[in-house]
Amino acid sequence: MEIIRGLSLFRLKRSVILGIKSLWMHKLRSLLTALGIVFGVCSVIAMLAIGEGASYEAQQQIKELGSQNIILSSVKPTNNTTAGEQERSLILEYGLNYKDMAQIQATVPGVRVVVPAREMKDFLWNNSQSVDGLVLGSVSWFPEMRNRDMMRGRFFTEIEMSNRSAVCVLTQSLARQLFPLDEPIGQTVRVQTSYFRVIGIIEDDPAVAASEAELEGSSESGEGMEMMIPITTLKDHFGDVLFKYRSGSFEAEKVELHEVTVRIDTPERVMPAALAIQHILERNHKEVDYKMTVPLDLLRRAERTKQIFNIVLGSIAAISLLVGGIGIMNIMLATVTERTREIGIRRALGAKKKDIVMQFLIETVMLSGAGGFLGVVLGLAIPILISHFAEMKTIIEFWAPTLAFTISVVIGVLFGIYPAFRAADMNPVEALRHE
Amino acid sequence: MPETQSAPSVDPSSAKVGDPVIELRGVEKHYQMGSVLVKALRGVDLKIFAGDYISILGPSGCGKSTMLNILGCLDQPSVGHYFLGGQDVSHLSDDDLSQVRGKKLGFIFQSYNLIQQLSVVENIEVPLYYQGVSEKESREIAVELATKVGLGKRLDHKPTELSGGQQQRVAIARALSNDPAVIFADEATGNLDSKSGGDILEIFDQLNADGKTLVMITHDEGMADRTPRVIRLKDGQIAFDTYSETK
Repeated sequence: MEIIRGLSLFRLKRSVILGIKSLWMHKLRSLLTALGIVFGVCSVIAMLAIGEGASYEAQQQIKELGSQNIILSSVKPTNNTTAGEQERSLILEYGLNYKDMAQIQATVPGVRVVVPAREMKDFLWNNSQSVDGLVLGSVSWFPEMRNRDMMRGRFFTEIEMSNRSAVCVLTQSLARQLFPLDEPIGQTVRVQTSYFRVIGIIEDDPAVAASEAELEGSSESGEGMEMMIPITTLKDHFGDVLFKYRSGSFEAEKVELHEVTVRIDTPERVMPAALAIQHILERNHKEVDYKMTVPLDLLRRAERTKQIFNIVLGSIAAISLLVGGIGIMNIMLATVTERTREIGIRRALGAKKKDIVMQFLIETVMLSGAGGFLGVVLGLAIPILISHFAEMKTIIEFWAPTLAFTISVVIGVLFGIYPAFRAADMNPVEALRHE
Repeated sequence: MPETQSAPSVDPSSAKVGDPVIELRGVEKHYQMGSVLVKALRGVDLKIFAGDYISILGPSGCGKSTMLNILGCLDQPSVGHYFLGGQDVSHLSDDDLSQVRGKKLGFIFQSYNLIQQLSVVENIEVPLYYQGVSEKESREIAVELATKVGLGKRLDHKPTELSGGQQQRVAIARALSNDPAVIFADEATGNLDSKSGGDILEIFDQLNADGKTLVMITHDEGMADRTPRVIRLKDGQIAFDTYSETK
């Protein structure tokens, strides 16, 4: 047993050396033949890395919203029939209200926390400096719910909420705009006639940060310029009716809640809960003046998109590897014909059919394996270059190069079998006579 | 003519004792050429003994090549039996025939038939490789044989770097590497000038003197003067089988 194994290992080694010699005799031809596999493998790895990177970023953004959350927001209705009625009353009333919130909390199973939020667009002042920003009335557990980290200082507490304290937390970019030189914490920010003390800096909304990075420095748009204060304080200081100065005339809006974030206890209950909330809102609101965002749903959709992307990629890869395999088979058939005499000599000197099969099979596998290896090297290098120069995120999963290399070897075996058997099936007498 | 005994009926093997290395009994070989059945060999009986030095002569188309293919186990007879070292090899499987060729036979061809991508030593090692001889042992044998045929200093040369005579010497070393029972030489000097050809023939003489059994297939009448036993083929049959002890 030991002898047989030692023997076959020795034979394998010799066959590999022989294969290298034969391939080396036609360097250019071998290289060109392997190129099909090189590009196939390389494109699979590179495209997978870019695809993974892109979908990872998208999924990360969705996860920032919280996969167990359902986010409801008020939307100004665009319905024309009701616009006529609304014009008569001076105050436009729409959106989510405290009644919706209470019902959701009471009737939907699995609801753990509900975070109400109101927002108000206004100028935020630091002495004579102002920024067109957003005042966000929220609750003390907002950062935890939305996965937002505190950069410095702290968020307001429940006590400050019930005390209706005049404290505020600024987003990073707002702090940078309002207090370019000073330490913002401890300073005051004026909105209309109210003053708020800065107690902390929170990181920017990742979704906003991402869109801003693309536009590069166009942060003047006012997006991400958020000042957060307790929702109770907001109601106290500014009331339920918000005035907006728009195109030369004042416009009054009454919106009780701009945003409600509902957290569900387990991911499995998110989708049924979303359906229940949809029903409640449909019953309470005559028109669609709200929007529901389910991050989990978005996540699932993103995953599906990725799946489709992977299938498309897989098909392209399969086709390119198939073409590469056919190229290899073509060259191996030519090689077998070219080396008919060598096959005849080997058969005369005692080679069995299976020896010839092994010789050519090993040669084919080495050709495709070398192509696969080169492809893996290139395929790993390209995503690194892309991340470096194009600043795109790329992710190389361990299984991608492993799989691509394995496939290239399998292709060598599959497409090598026919030429190898053709070589072995030659009549030794005729092969020896071949010119 | 050098033939002292010209009658085909004389059994040349009567001079030898023991069992023959090779024995053909009523061997025929038929080929289907389109609708015509060609009989390349029509009833050949032959015994070859250890230490024989034989020339097989005949005009082209007489069945020489067919004879060599069958003797060399590259082809099998349509009719009759072929015993090699007492074993009937007429109906062996392809694998077993390969085994027999690799173990018991040596070949030397007109056009040397070396493998181009292998060096001198590696070419000599090919039969040993298929016999499963270990790397170290086969290298030792190959170096020894290369030195014996005068190529000790060209072990790592490729066939393209050698002259015809040198290539044929590599082929001889290769044929010897598995210590075969019989060596077949097919027009071994056909591609060589008379000087190199003469050198090769001297090596053959020496090998026979050392006890090797050699069978040369040729159309060169000069060979008949060289070997003690001469077989002449005509129309697929042995026309003359003469043996001269005086040579």
